[in-house]
Amino acid sequence: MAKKEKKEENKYMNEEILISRTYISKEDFFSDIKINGLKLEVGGDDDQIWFIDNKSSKTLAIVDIIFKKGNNFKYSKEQNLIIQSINKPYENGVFYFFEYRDSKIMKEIEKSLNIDGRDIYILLDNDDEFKKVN
Amino acid sequence: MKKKVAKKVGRKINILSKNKTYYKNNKRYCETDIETNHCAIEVKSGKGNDLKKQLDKYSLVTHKEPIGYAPYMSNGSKKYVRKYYSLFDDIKTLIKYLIQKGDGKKRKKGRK
Repeated sequence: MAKKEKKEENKYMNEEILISRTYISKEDFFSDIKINGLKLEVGGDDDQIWFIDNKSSKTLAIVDIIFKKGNNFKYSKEQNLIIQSINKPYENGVFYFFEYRDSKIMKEIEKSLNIDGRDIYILLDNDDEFKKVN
Repeated sequence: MKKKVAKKVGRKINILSKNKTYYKNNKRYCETDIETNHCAIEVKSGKGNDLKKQLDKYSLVTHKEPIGYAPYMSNGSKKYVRKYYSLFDDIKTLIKYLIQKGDGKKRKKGRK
């Protein structure tokens, strides 16, 4: 029964917003994240990184790449609306929008990311408060 | 939330595919959550990250009507997406809409 429920739950993507004090570039994602059985691909309109299961070729997670021009970060209008509506742990952070199929993969990604100087917090689905990644 | 969507929609609506990946120039372009005969539905479990952008992609890869289901989006985001696409925050209204579109399951003979 529990197995069936788990399978059902994995049918759709969950959401997570990550805030970092410093910018995490596309190249940072590719160099930081080395997880067995997982490959990274640039997708969408070259504005996303897709995390793919090597064996099944299933999409496990997707993150929108935030482009940086000078000191400005390029968010979509909708992303800006979301940023305005949430309680942030600090101002002037850089936001990353993830979708993922299973919380295990997000934990692996968070573990892989270098947190030094980045001060990373995450906000899950419809939670109200960000939680710090240690 | 996700369990409810899968179960409730599937009970009354003919679902053709779930989590279908589309490619563009040999790259993964987008993944539709649910596809029926007439609609492609994006299910959002949280704040609704870039729902409009995703629905824009849906309209490029399918000829079906892109629809959003996002019960926890902020009012500002909902208002913005509704300028362009049908967006539901209530499962019953979503199912009713899909039935109106002709995606409902046909009742078996002998059942009321």
